[in-house]
Amino acid sequence: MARPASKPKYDHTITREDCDNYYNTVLAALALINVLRWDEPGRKLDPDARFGVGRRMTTSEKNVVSASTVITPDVVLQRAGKGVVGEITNSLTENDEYWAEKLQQVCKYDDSLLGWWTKDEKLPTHDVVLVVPHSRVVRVTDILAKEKSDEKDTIKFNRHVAVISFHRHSGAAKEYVDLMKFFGDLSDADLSERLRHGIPVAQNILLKVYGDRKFVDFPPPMAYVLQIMWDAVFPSYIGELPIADGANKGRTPVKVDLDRICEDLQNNFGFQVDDARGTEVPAKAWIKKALEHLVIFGMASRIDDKTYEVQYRALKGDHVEYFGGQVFKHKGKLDLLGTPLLQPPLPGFGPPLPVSSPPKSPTIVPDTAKATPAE
Amino acid sequence: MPTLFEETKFSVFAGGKDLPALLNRLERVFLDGKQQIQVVVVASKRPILQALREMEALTPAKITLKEHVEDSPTSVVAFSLKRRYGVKEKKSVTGDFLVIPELRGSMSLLVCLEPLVFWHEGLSPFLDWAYPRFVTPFFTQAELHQFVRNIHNALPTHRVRIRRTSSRERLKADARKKFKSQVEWTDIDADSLFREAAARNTFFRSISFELVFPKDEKIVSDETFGTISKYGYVSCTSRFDLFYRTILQPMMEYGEDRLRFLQGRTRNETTNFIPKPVKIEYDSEVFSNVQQIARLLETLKRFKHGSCSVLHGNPYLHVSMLDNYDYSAADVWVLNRNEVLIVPQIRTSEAALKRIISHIFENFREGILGEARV
Repeated sequence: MARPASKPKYDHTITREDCDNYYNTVLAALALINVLRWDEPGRKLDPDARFGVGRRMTTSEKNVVSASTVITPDVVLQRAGKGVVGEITNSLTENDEYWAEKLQQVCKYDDSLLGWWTKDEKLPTHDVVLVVPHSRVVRVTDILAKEKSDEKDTIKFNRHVAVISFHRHSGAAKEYVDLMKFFGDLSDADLSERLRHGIPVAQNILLKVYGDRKFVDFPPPMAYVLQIMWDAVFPSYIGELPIADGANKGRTPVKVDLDRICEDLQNNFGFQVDDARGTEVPAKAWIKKALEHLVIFGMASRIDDKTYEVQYRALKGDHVEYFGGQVFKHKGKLDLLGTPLLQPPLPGFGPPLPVSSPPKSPTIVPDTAKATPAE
Repeated sequence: MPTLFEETKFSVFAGGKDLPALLNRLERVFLDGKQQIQVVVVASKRPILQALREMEALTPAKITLKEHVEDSPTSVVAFSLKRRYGVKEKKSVTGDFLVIPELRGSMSLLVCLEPLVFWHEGLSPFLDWAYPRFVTPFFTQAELHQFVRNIHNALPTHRVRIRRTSSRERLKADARKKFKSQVEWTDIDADSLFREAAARNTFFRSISFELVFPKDEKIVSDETFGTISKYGYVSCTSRFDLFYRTILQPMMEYGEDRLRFLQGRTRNETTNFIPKPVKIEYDSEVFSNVQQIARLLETLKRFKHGSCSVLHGNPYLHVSMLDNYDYSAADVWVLNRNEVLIVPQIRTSEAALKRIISHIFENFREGILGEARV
């Protein structure tokens, strides 16, 4: 008789790698913003630079990929009348088709985009940047080089385009995020050349200048967001606990409001909406989904669409691992979850425009007051 | 038997309830049997007497706390405490303590004239239960050494001889245990003791000492014995005024300064949600050795009554710490070779920050605490 296949076990290394990749993307986005804001002659961050994470830009009707559509590049930055649109990917796939498709998507940024911080929301031109993990940059540049020599030339850019790699490295005294250009050019020749040689950005400077950012404009691993909610957000609603109940014992029912959680996460770990083109990071849909996960885990109950009661308690051990394990354990039930990920249309923009991809994140207000030398 | 000029526990508790009068009586107290003057420095966010009075009704069944009611209001107030303990054999301990409230900022003193068992089985567990309403400070090895030096400076005719130390010594990496805890009986001067301890990577939880003075080419005991712990506990058998000036007052000063430094790090609208991190700085590049990062991580994972979630372990360290007493959260980072960065999250009490820092100091390495600036 054949023995039944043993139940697969939870492998926390996968969850941890997912979380790590996600956080690396946060670092890559911040490092890119920092490098683009940097005023080399003045040796300081340009206080007038404007930037947004997941800013909603509108394509023209001539856009070859998505005409007259709202798109949400990961990073949009405007400085001294020039713009940069950046796409960041943390995928480690070795599948060339994926990367070719990704590059084709990036082509949609090669357009007269609407949504810049000018009166008519236009800029004469802008650069396009694709930021990829260091280990995949050769693969991506090879595809672009091949496309360039190919007669079909399906991936073609009219604007300056650059492929930049990111990776972390340990320096003699500090941890850095390195950005290095492997393909193409930026309109700022000096920056382009400096990026060709690689620019290290100290991680502690990112923490200081941009605060404790933990999210970018695409959904994080569920264990990651649940750990942040459990460790940092819910406790802030509990206040002083009655010590007579004893530490580590019992559950504390905490009524939580979806809007408030989102606001707290955006204020403390994400990005706030600056104007009508900004999007919320983290998105409400992600948090709603996370709360629904807690309901399935038996750790919360839904009161109404926006209100939940969390049975808060002290969890032992590593909370990322705990929630990773819960997600694994309840996979069957979770697959039935159909929480919509789309956000509501732009306020003040009339009927919703067609959206080519799920809206991602929101806009950062430049921290001009706190700007410090940062490269 | 006490002489006519000596005080007893009864007269100390019954006499005038103001600080100068109390200090005077404690200076002249006659200790009976195993009694010692025992004092602990305690910080309370709210007025300590108010907090204690509220606790009378909140204590668990095994603890009974009761205020000694006075006819008229006094600044120093007495309480009695009874605690039942023991699993196989049911035991109980009873004693009285005086509260000298808010002597420096949020720092108060609890004073008792009881045998040591009252501290170990009564007052100390009570204070553990009362956390985070009450927080005891922590002191570094350098500060402990300074307290002993203060005694010597204030009484140059005498010398401080260390008689007993309670310490933890970090064992080498291949040992199955991380620490060797030991109580050591000795007879050595304080400077030599602390110098040798630093060389051996040993740190003291408490030191007990004796005051001696030279007489006829011999060392003669002053019959004054004392103990200082790194958690703000002090005991002595006489010369209370000396201990008050040289140890308790500096303890309150350091403790208040440290707690004040850690206060106000919760993020909110008024601070534009910007975190206010603190750093522990080391005088050498401790983390240039990756094994030290792993060791710090292991230390953080052993954080009692709390949790440690690992977000990144190597080559840099990023963990989320949660204090299960008051559910304060802070991220701990190692991004520089000589520095641990502690980033308070949405709500982080000074008590929890103190606990995390104290845990790192005690179980990993002591460093210099400061404001994190880039």
